[in-house]
Amino acid sequence: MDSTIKTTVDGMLSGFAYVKVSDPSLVSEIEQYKADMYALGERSSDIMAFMTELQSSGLMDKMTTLMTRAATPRPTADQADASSAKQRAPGALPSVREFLQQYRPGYEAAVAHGFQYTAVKAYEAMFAIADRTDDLLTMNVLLEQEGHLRAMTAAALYDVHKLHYDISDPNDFGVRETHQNLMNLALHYKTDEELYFQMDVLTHQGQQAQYRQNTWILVSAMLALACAGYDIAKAKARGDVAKYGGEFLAARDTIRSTCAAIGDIFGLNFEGMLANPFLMHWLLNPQTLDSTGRVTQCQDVRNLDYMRDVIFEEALSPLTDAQCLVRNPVHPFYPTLNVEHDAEQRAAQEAIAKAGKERLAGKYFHGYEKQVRVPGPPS
Amino acid sequence: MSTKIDESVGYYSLLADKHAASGRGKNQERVYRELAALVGQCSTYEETQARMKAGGYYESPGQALFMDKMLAHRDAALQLRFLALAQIYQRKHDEVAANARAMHVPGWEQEVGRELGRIAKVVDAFHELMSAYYEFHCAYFGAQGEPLAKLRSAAQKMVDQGESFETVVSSPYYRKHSPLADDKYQQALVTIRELLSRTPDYSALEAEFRARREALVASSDPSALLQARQQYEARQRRSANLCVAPDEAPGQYTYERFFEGRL
Repeated sequence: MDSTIKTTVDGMLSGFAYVKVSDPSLVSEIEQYKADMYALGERSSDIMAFMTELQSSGLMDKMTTLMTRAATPRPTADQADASSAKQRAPGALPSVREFLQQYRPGYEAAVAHGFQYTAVKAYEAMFAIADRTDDLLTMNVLLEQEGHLRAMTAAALYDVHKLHYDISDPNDFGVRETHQNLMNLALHYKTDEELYFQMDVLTHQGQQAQYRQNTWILVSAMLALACAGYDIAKAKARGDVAKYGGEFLAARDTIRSTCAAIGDIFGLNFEGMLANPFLMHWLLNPQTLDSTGRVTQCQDVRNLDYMRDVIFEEALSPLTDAQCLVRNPVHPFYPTLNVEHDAEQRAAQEAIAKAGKERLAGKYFHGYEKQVRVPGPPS
Repeated sequence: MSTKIDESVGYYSLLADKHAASGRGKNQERVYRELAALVGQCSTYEETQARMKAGGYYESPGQALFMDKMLAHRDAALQLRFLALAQIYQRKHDEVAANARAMHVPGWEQEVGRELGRIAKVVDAFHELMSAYYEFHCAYFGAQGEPLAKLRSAAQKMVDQGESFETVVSSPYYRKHSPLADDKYQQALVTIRELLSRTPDYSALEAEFRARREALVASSDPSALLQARQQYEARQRRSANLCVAPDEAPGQYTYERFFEGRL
């Protein structure tokens, strides 16, 4: 199964871990559901195909139904109110405390999440209503007047997006803008209908921002690839110009056309890309070292000097092809590690990964992925 | 009892006011205003329950909530110009307005899922199209065949999803997936239309390229090239760096070299 799909399925199914299910038929139904989800993951070629089939097959809706059934309040031995509920006469109304227990699975999930600080407080403020009244009508008035029901949803929405806002690369405006907008929504919406409307719109706007951001990443990657390809093609042509001369010419022309496209289409140039820290770091082919994307292993930063050199002193210069082929750049290209055949370089890669994690050790969200079993924010 | 009646009236008025203020809960506002008025006319709990049941008020708040939910999603779909999606929500709203039990009839969620899935595929096709356009321009002429094929494939994927190239690229929704300035976007569309209708003639470029290659081979001294290569490779090292994102945006990344060694 594709790793992205597996992560997604694991995350979606992890919600069941938060609720205790005692009904054996529901337990088996959930197990069957999990099997169906993994089967769908196995037969999906990529994440898009998976998400599309998930929606159209009804498995998405079934999860909501199963979660609702699983989270339906069920009395437990250590809950005195629950035992009194068992003894309640048929038709009699529950107490305020009993009524509010229906929100306990949500509270427990918020506590288990570990980063839903405001949501936990919102639940606790709501449970405290049981200390203020024994009357269900008064409870309803208080819930409404003080906005407790809205606060539970809003706080959870805020907390999840705040966490993902904080863990993301601050320069990645495509991701950050989406989370910021959803945090603002959580703070300001008043009714569920406002939430539905704004969530639909903001989710799509966030996707648009992400695609725009991905395009800038693509631009950086294409220029980086062109320059790295030039180094390889030049080495080959120097070994056998008759055989690889054409490849070298193609590599030179690729740098030329890439620079022209970046200017003509995007209004950018190499120095402009260097002035943008986000684009600059994507010129160095960063490989993420952890789930936040804040720490990466990348090419040597001196490769930017190499790139400037081959772009302006060779590819775009008036030098002939033969002059370019024999010229050595002032700044050489530094290839990345060869971990497959070199133990020392393999060890260096491991050291980088370890150091990357250490750089984040002081952050409050460090290691969040071990605690938060739902990897992404709710959609 | 009058205190409880008053409290109930106050509660329903509170709900009605909330939905009125939101501007997105007209059905719930109406039902809660009706409920406040109805309860206000009662003098006992039993009478309240009886009149609520007789008036269908055990069901109508849920019905109103469902209808308002459909309208909220419909309005979002309209704002995003997803007309087919908006129609699904409108139809479900109308069904539930006519008969509250239609709330429990499934199927509409799958319709929504299918339509959103279709839109996602069009978004992917649009992104693929624009990426192919960029890649086409970045490639040297001899490598433009692949992005050209990708460009055409992306346009066909739009057709496969019931859209045409022109409707997609002129849609403000899809257009916002591209970071291009308006003039550059229009320029891109002109080029893409040309590329979709005809394959560039590369014969002149091919001839020129052949001549360049021959000149390169003729004017290159293999021993000088080999010497240059050896000198260059003697300076080359493998290297690996750790890059850490800044704490605030916009900020500089920090780069730390961890290894430098032989090729």
